[in-house]
Amino acid sequence: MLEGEIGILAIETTTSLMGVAVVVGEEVVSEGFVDQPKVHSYKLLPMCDRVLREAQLDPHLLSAVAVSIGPGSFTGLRIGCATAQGLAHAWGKRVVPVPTFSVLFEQARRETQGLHPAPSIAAVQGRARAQTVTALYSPEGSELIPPVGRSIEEFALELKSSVAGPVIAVGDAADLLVEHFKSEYTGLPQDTQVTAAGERARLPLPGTVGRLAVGMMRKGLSVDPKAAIPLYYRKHQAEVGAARKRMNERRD
Amino acid sequence: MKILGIDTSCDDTSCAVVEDGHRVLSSIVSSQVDLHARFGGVVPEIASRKHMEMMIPVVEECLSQASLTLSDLDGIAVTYGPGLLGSLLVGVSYGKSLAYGLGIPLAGVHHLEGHISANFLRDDPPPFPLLNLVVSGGHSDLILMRDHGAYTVLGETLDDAAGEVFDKVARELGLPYPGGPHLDKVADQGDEDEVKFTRPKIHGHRFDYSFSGTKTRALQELEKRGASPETVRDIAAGLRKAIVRDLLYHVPEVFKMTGARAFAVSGGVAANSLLRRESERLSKELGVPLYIPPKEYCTDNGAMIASAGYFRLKAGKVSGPDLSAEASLPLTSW
Repeated sequence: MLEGEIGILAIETTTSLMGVAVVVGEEVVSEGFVDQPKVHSYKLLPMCDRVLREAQLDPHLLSAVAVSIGPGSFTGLRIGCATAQGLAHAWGKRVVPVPTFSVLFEQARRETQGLHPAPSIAAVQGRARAQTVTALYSPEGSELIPPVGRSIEEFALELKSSVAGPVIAVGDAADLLVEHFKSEYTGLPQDTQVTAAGERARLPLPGTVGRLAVGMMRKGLSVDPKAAIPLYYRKHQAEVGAARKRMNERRD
Repeated sequence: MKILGIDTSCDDTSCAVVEDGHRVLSSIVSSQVDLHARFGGVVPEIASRKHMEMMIPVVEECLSQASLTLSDLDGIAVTYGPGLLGSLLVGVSYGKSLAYGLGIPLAGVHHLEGHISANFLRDDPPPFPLLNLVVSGGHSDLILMRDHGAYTVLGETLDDAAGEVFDKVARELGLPYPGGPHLDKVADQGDEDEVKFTRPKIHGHRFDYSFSGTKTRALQELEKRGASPETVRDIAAGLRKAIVRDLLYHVPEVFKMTGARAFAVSGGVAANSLLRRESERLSKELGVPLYIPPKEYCTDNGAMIASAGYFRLKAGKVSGPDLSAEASLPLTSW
């Protein structure tokens, strides 16, 4: 690592794909990931160790630890954020909290480069119904529908009324959106269809988290490790239930 | 040897630094009671989220109170089960990453082993073999300990844990959350013989416990008599008497059978005033010393985890970076 270069250890745990990357400058120096549910807790730290060794980098030379902070699986988010907190706290580093939808947008943008017309990008994370978060971006990256917790069905309905051209779907629930769109909205012209991004772009990858983190680091967008907490976009069901109960009591 | 102990097994974010397994340099417990009170019980997702926010602030406060920095630590101990999975994962993920980052050893600790170790937070540790009664919201266990890490579970609850019954009945009696300590106070003013509870028939091992029948009986009495302040006090007093009686019922026989040299009571319910008094009386009768931690180390805390971790590390039992959280975890010897 050259003096003045930004070096990042990046962590991605928001979906079934769990991974770690070391990114120096613009380059992904080493990266490892595995797409397997329920292994994140015991495989993440050993993978951090392996990826750091492959990069032959003393962690104390890193500029920061980056973590994909959501939306995504609540448990996955916490494993990633708590690991980033522990490592950064120990090394005296700051944390770059990378929004997962930025990661997905970046991967979709790369995959669809050169396509005409350029597709809009639908990001859909959280396969569990109570955890689904959705958003829609223009090909240039402006937010057409901001990230919000809602069902695939509600999102599909809004998508249909707000987009005229093709849409590419990313995120771990992208296939659910595509299936729903196909079954509910038949007969739409070919160029307004929703298609899922390819395997390599559909789930957020640690290398992308790291590359975005380098840019964020240059802009000073890092936080104290204790502030590296997940972006859920959803209240817990008990809170939602209690809020509804309060509303009903007021109505009564 | 200074060990940082972390416990996030339920709704408290707890940390402590303990030296040589017994000297507490600092202990911080960040309670979530206010957050869960309106739901009448712990909401796992809310607990997990709060642990995530509180983890580093609690560790920093703990180090600051002990006038230490991270580089002064010799090891990290963390509860890895049993408990609420989402809550445990925060402590385990943070704790093992901190240990890895600092290059110091990690000890994964069983929560029950932690409660037992609360009685070792003193200059004169209990002798072995030690008979432990561990009673909390999740456990009611009689455990013989022949040495650090050498456990024989002689009895455990077949259904509800004693603390769970105290909390659930207290809620139905209309007492504030968390109910156990409030029920203990109210019981002091009740007639403990007004509502009688028979001893349950145990269909398991002879030293096992069963409290679900006792709970049902308390709730039936409440329904029959109504929740007047007097009835609430009497049911609380009768229930407390029955649970303490059942918890201690087999203790004399177990002493005779095992030749244990001391009696130790731990866990959240060890803060119950009647259990403390009756344990005192019984140990005098048996002629064995009694060990009960101060109340702050009865409920979940980081100090007991740090102590248990110290004895593990001293015996060379280091956990790897692949340590994970386990919602259900039997207590095993090491």
